[in-house]
Formats: sequence, C-alpha cells, structure tokens
Amino acid sequence: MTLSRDEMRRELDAIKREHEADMAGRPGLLRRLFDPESRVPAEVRAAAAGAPSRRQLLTAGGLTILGAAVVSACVEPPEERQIPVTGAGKETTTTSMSSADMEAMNLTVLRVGQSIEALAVQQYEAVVGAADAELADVLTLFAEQHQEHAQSLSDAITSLGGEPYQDGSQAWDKPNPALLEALAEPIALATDNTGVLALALILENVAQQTYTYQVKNLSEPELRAAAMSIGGIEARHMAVLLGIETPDTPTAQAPFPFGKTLDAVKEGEAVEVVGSGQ
Amino acid sequence: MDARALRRMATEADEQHREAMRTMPADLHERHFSTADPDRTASRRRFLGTVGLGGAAIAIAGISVPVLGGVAGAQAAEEPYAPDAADLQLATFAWALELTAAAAYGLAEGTKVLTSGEAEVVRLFQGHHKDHAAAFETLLGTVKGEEVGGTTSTTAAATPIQSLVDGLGPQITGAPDAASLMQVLLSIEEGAAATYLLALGNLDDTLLAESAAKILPVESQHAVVWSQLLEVPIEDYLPAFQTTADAFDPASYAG
Repeated sequence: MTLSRDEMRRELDAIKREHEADMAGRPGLLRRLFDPESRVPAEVRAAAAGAPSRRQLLTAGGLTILGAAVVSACVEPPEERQIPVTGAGKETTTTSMSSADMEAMNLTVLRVGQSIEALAVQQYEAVVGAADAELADVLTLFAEQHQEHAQSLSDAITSLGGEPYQDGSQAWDKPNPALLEALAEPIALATDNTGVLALALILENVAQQTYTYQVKNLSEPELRAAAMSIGGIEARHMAVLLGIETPDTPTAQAPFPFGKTLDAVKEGEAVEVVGSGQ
Repeated sequence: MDARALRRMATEADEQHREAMRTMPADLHERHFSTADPDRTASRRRFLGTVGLGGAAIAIAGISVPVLGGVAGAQAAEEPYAPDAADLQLATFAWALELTAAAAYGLAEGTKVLTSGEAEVVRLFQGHHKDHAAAFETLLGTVKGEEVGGTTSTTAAATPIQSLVDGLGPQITGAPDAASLMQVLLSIEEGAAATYLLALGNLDDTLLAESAAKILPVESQHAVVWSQLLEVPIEDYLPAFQTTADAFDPASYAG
C-alpha cells in the first residue's frame, strides 16, 4: 500500500459517510418509488435500487426491497426466541447472537436458498416452451441443477435438525410467494425468447447474490462452503446467459471484479416497506 | 468480434469495476468480529500445516486492526481483530494466488497468439485479479503484530507463488496457439474458484469468508468465458456444484 494508515482511514471514513448519506431516508423514498400508483418510470426505480443501468431488467420489481419479505417467509414463527432478521436497517451478523440464534439463522438462510431454488425450477419449467432451442437446452440443464441444489439444501436443513415449516403458501420448500410476487412482471413478460432470457437473468442474479450475501449470516465454515458451492454455479449460469444475450462479447460475461450483493434476498430494512407499500 | 462492442463493454465494465472497488474497502472495514472457535481453529491449523508463503509468512501474536466507523475523524480506537494465524495464512495464500494469476495474465498479454478480442478478455480478467489482490492488501495490510523491542511488525506483503509461476510461465510464453494458451488460463481460473471454496470451508473469520464469497463467483465466470472460447462441452464447465477438486493446495505451494 502506498497510502498511510491515516490516509486510508480518512478515505474509508469519507466513503462510509457518503454511503450513509446515500442510504439516509431510503425506506421512505423507496416506498414512494415502488408504489404501483406512483407512476415512477421503471428506469428510475431500478436506478434507485442501485441497479447498473445496463442491466435494468435484473432489478425489475425491486428485488432488493421485496427480498426482505422472502427472508421473513422462511423464518419459522418465533416461539421462545427472536431471530433478528426483521430489524430496522441494521446489518445482522452472527457476532452478537447466541448459539441457538445462530443455529436458527443457519436454518433460515438455507431455507431462503431452497425457496429460491424451488422458484427457479418452477419458472424454468413453466417458460422453457417459449424459448428458442439454444436457450431451452440451457434452461433445462439449469432447472435440473436447481433441483439438485434444492435437494442438497433440504438435506442440509434436515441434518441440522430443521423441520419443515408447514404454513400453507409459506412452506419453505415451495417457491417463495414474496419473491414470486416481486417477479410478477418479468414472469408475465416471459412469453418469448427475450422475455424468458430476462427472467432467467433475474433468477440467477438474485440467487447468486443471495448466497454471496448470506455467507456472513452462516456461522459455520462448512455451511458457507456449501452455500457457495451453489452460489458459484449460479454465477456460471449468469455468465452463460449473458453470453446468449450478447454473443461474441465475452467481456460482458464476467463484467464485475467482485460478486455483488445489491440484489440479494436479505433481511432487514425493507420489511416495513413491503408490508405497507406493496 | 465487434471491436466497438468490445470497447463499449470494456468501458462499462471499467465503470462498474470502479464502483465496486469504491465500496469494497469500506465494506471490508466496517465490521469487526468475534474470536474464533478453538476447535475449528485447531482443525484448520492441521489443514494448513506449517505453510509459509515466501515473503508472505505471518508470525503474529496479538493482532489488532483499526475498526472504522462510528467515530468521526481519524481517532478511531484500535480493537482486536479476530483472524487468527491460520486464517491469515489462508487469506495470504489467496492474495498470493491473485498476484500469480495477474502475473500469468501479464505474460499471456505479451504473447502474439491471441486475437484482439481474446486479448481484451485477458486485460479485463488481469484487472480483476489485480483488484482481488488489492482488496486483500487493503484488508491484510492493516494487520499488525504485537510490539516487540520497540518494533511493530506488519503482515508481509504477499508475492506471486514462485513455484506456480515457474510452472505456468513456460506454458504461457511457449503456447503455440491461442487454444493452448487459453487452456492454461482456464486451469488457473478453475483452480482459483476451487481454492476459494476450499478457503470458505476453512476460514473462520467472517470478513475473510465474505471476501472469498465475493471473489469465487468472478473466478467461476472467468472459467465459463475461457471454456466457451475453447468450445468446451457445457457439462465440463457447468457442474451442478462447485467442488474443491481443482484447488491449489496451500501446503503444496509453501515457499
């Protein structure tokens, strides 16, 4: 490093202040932005969610916002303990949690993953007929792999002592209803090859980002590795789809130096928004 | 290959890349973590053995790192930083691996066997690996040892893994054609992706695990790109699960 520690500290403080200023007031703003009656253009909504402008389709529906509901739907009803997954904007880490809470969080994260995998399988099976032969072949393979992911997560949940959360539409081994609702528009548009490709990109993007993001909420290295043994494959799915979207442009298939987490299904700040604004 | 499209994509990627780099250090430094579980630490130490990485060997007693945020100004209090020596060894190996990959891509760029489009990919991916190394430098470069005899040591900067460079270098510079060269680059990326998975299964520190989780997907995508340029069958580069089978074993590359 050529920067001194003081210089680096000042720089990082400045970045943090900038970030906090950017985040201040976001919930209220987002409530307005994602209000179906607000008539805010989709591009503006995507930009507000921090979406790269080139890939606006990836954030259609405000996945970052609605993701909170997805997590909530995968948490077992609180009995004797409360899992801090629906707080008001604070990042949740495992550091301040009891052993029991960490075990509960592990199960929650795995269930979130399983619900996303189940959704991917369901949607790919539903829309594959609208894709051309090349994309259909790819999605058929992806669906098989997502099914394998779902099964492995189910096995992991069982091995950790988790029990199926049977509560009607919020059963954790079913496509998560909140995410399904969030994706209503891209699902409705998945009637031709372009729409199917857009939907697939959204599904793979949110899946990969969720696994990457949720690593911090898993208390055991083995679980983190298990999650990323899947997350890495979702990233490969993304690269394959981006190759189909922009053929002969390989640099578009791996554009970022670091895996992003902006569109991850995450706990926290947006529960209120989902509850009152959607 | 459409050169204009490539340039446009490279520009966009560069912008996105800068955005990601802008937020990464803050993200890495914002949190502090608890101490490691002793049983797991012992297990990881057995895994790592007595790895020493050339110039990157670490001997740390009381590790501390400035914890940023919450306090205005530059008077941040020093608080204990959780990574133990085993974590730091593993993370420093990843740092060294990134430097090795960047060096390998530098050699690849110097060859004349690639098309302009393939060379563009080489430059982009080399940049990614440099960014990964820089992130580790930002993170690990602040870790300091306990003051001994009036001198406080810091984590030594990683250097490329010489034995790996020695093995890969001739394969790259002597590649007779683009396919041979890309095959070497593919092996590096597959190895890197597998190594991060290996690290995730052994790292106890959450911050380091998060870092690995943000890099693994990128190495995976690099592998897809090279595989497709090589027209490798999809089942070969798209398994259902990432494994550690191709991982670079830290113990095998000890300096």
